[in-house]
Amino acid sequence: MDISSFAQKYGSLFIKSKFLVDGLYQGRHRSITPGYSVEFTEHRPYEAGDDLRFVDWKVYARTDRFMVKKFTEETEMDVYVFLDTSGSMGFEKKFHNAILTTGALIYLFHTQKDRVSLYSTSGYFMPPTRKRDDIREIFRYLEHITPFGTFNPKECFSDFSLRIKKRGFVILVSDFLYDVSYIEQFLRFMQKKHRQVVGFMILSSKEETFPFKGGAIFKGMEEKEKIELNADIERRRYLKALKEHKKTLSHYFKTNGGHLIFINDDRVEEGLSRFIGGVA
Amino acid sequence: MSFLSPYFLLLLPLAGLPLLLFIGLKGKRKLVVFSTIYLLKREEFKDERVRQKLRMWLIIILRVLMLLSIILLLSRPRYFGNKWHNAYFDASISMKGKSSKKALVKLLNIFGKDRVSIINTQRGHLFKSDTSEVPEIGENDVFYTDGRVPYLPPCKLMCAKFHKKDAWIFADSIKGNRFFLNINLPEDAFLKVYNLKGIIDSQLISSNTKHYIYTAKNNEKYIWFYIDYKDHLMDNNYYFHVFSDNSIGVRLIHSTPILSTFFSTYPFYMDSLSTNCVSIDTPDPYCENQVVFFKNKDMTSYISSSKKVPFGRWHGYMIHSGLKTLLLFNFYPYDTSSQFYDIAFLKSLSRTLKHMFGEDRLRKNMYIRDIDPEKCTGPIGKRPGIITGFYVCQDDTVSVNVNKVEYISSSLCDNKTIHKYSFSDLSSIMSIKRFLIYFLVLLFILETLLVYFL
Repeated sequence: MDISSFAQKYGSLFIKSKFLVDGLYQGRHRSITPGYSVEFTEHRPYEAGDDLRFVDWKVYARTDRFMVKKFTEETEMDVYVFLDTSGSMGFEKKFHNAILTTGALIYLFHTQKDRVSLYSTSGYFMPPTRKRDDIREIFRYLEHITPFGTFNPKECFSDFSLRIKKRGFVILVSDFLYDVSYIEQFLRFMQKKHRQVVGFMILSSKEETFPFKGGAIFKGMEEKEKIELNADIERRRYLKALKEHKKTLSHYFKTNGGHLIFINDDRVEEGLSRFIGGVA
Repeated sequence: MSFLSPYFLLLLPLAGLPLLLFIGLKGKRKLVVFSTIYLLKREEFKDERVRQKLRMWLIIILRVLMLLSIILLLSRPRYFGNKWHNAYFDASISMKGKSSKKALVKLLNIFGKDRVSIINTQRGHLFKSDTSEVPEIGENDVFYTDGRVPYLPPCKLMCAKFHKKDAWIFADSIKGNRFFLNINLPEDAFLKVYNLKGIIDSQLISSNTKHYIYTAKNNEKYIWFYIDYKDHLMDNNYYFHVFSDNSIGVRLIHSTPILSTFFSTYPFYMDSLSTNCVSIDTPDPYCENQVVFFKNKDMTSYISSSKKVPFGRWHGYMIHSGLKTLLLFNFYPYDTSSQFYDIAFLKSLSRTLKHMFGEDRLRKNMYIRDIDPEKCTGPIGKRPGIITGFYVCQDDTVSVNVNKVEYISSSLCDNKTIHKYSFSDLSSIMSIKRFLIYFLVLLFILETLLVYFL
């Protein structure tokens, strides 16, 4: 399944952010600023200078008081997608799944008339845009990118944070197999800035089951060093450590108003459905 | 330390097999490219990995030690460490003027660096001496080296110690000495005889002495001792090494009736008792001391409690002792007057045994040596040694390899040497063997614990 067709599958889906987002253009998300829209929010007493068009005459007929109707303006939102393209993502089908997830989300938000931005750890950055050409360029990039290099979470997250200019929706697509303290810092910062963060933890089934047997030398795709171990003996401990790592991550996301969604092999659709169901 | 089966030491490099395998397999360990080793690098993993590495090396070391122990067990090490030997020295008048001193020096050389307790049987003094000290025969004061007056054990008490420990006996082979040996020879001991006129070394076996050994069970060894006294010269000096081990029986077979007095029946019966077989011996008619042996070794109590089994003119005793059965016959193939040999008796006995144990089993397990009566004539001292034995396995579950016994018996009668075996220092072999077995078991337990529980 190529990225475009996969993403199109989710193009008709509708998602709304829970949070208010501000934006320049009218969209389907509620703005923090009151405006002119069809979505009624509340009444307030008429004050001198208010536009008479917004006086609710029915309320006046019933209560003999001038009340003005207030509406919430619906705006677009900025969606910042962070894609981890480090070497570790190249393990098995992880990167393929990450690309599928990213593509689907970008297309989804694009069809909602939201402005989408893509940041990849390899240095690529597309500022928030709703232009069709820009979206096409993002997709072209996604189709050609290959995972490489080492991931420096501290540097990447701080760089990414600086590029998030407005309130919006932040999506992190990564395996998160690094020091969680950097993620915690980032999440805390995002919450402070009223950004909602959703993380997609992409793992392969081999990472989740550690099916290796006997003594072997393990080499990380990002690390230069090697570790010699007996997989049979270390399996239990590795799985326990992974479970704890995932638990800690989930906790950090939860406490900072975010969500963490786990995606492993061939379960991209399931993960996206969970995202749509949980966040929207 | 030396080894009785040194060829097994060629297997020593095999002990390094676990290590080689480990190193070999380590080199061939596959490289697994994993997404990230971030989780595997965590501190708790490191500690555990060090523990695992230690555990793995321990297992390898244990396996190497196990293999080493097995190879050492097979090579049968013996040692001449700082061990005390008891040397019973016959300083009787018959030893005077013979080459005893020279022999003793050679004897002491056998002990190497070990220390020796020398017991003068004439005066009963016990002396402790370093091997460098060469005692003068018959002059006890010269033996005295360390200034202490030693314990004076009675001769019989000394002999009783044969049951428990090794003893070297330095004596000539006059009747009194042989009697002394025989009367005190434990049932589970065996005797090595050195002829001083032969070449004396640690492997010394005189040309006059033949040894036959076979293994009846894994843990039961039979050493058949055949001392051919036909070639015996009275001026020869002998010294004997008596070993004591529960797994070993003794049979001394004689060819000269007079000498059989001391070396024939009793050990043989005891031998039979310890081997789950029925045995019938034909002791020499002149074996006048037989009864004495029985009395001395409490055989009378066995016999009195046993069932009397008549066979023709003779009768025997069926003695039961647990699984062991001894069918004991005292009959004389020689008649003092007519010197006839009762073939008819043997035939009737054979029939009875077939009836008792079944023909098939008897055929398998029985050895009958028919004696040519013509050879049983002549003056005493020139008669050939005659041994007739019936070995019937009492139960199939008793794993006495009777076929082997038959072979040995027949070969023995044909005066063939089956296997010459040097069992000098068997006690040291046994003690090392025991240690190695315990050590092996310990290693096995440790290895099991490490592999499965830690």
